[in-house]
Amino acid sequence: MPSRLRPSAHRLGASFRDPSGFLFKRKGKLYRQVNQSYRQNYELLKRSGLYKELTHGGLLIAHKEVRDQPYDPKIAYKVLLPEQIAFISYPYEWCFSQFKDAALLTLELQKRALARGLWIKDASAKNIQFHQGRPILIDSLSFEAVPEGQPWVAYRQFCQHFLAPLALMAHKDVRLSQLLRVYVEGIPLDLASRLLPGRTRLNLGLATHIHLHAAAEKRYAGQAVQSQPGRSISRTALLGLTDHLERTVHALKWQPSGTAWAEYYGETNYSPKAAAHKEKLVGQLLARTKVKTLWDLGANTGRYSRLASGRGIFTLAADADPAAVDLNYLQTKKKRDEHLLPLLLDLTNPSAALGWANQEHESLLERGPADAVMALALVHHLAIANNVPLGRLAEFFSQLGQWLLIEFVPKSDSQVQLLLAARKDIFSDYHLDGFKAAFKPFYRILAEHPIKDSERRLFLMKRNG
Amino acid sequence: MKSNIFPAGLLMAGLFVMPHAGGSLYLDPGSGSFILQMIIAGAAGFLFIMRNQVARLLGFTRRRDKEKKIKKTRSRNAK
Repeated sequence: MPSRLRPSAHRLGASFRDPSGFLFKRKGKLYRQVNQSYRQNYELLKRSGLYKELTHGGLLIAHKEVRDQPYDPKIAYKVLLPEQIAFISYPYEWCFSQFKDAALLTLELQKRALARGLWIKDASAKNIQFHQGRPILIDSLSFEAVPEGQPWVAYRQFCQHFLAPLALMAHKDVRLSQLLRVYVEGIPLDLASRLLPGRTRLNLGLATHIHLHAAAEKRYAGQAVQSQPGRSISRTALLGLTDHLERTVHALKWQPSGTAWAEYYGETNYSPKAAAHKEKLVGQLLARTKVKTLWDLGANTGRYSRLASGRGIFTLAADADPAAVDLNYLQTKKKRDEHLLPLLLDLTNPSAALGWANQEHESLLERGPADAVMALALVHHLAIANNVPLGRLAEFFSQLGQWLLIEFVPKSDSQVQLLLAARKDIFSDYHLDGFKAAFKPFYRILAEHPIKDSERRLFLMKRNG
Repeated sequence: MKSNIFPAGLLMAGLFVMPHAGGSLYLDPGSGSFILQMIIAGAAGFLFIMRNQVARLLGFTRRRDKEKKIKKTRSRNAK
């Protein structure tokens, strides 16, 4: 149907691969159209009790069947209104523990589906999102009746989307998750096999699902498999395969090298008095804003993010340090914080629009704006360690949110001195007056507070206009 | 260059796979992936059953020991 006939709706650029249905947006709400071709499987999902079991257990996003106009009525069977996700994240933005939880959820879904005569027909990491503090499957059209005797159709996809990145993160380098920015459809198994250390060939799970799998892929590339009736895969064998994958994923562990988790708890450069005062000020300033969403940039382990999420503000806690994000996520899980989403984001190179027509993954900016941005102990890292002029910083923050809670760290601070220790100080504008002057074209300063027992200052600003 | 990692005998066993039938199959499952699954799924299924049996036996033994303990405690209390 020509788009002029439905000016208020648009189909999502990421939703086109599966003919079972697609996502579209209307009046700010996300809907899912189920196509006629998926009718039988949709009815089976409901009739088998699997939908009820998974949604009650928080494993699958719940939806309502609505009578709204379908986006493409010619092929439509139903229109669903799923529970809305606050923020869509991508696998290269997840820390190791988030990735592992997402992989284990996918296998749990497969096990529960198999028990009711269904399976998941795709194992894309994009189908998993973090919702109210835990991973959840967002694609209600992922299930279908198990075709009798068939091998699992999504086995390779699971290995490329989950197992290969996790194995590389655990056995080689945690930063290798960033390969998924290039390989959005999963890390090719031959590449994973080449990058993994030789010792992983002694690990039965990785030897089978990565190394042998890569060799089989290479050996049979482009060849059609031949049929022989009588040779098929039983339901028990599928359960066994899922169980083996689960054991392999469970065994993958990561911890920052040379450090212990406990070392990440320490707040740097603050006396207890300064830290307590900063916490009090942040809480007071947040109360003034009355915002619903906040992006905490440079959140570290999320100490200050929790001041926002604790007030029911949906808080994205972004940091470029995989260990800090991991620790933040583990704490979020432990405390069952439903409003906090820790993510791995490098502000000097924020996630870009990726995939087909640059529309499958949205850039960070496209996923905004938030109501407020918080940038505590961050400015010196961007302005001095990364040479970003203060005016550019102000402009960038102003695109992300209306409110800004920001901390200025002067040159006299020991952390800034550390950054300048091995380089020439070319930052003549980096001082309090220069900071205020750089932010003035974009923001009004509503509050300015010195932090006790430190040389740092906290500002509350609101975007001009 | 062909990989030597994949044992030829196993490959022969895996060659006879049912073709894709049923299911939506909008994904390309990959011929190599299908063949590998045919080879390993049987063993994985067997291990799965064995593990479940062992777990069931252990559970039974633990339950029996627990019941014995409870009975002993009850009879002691009765005295």
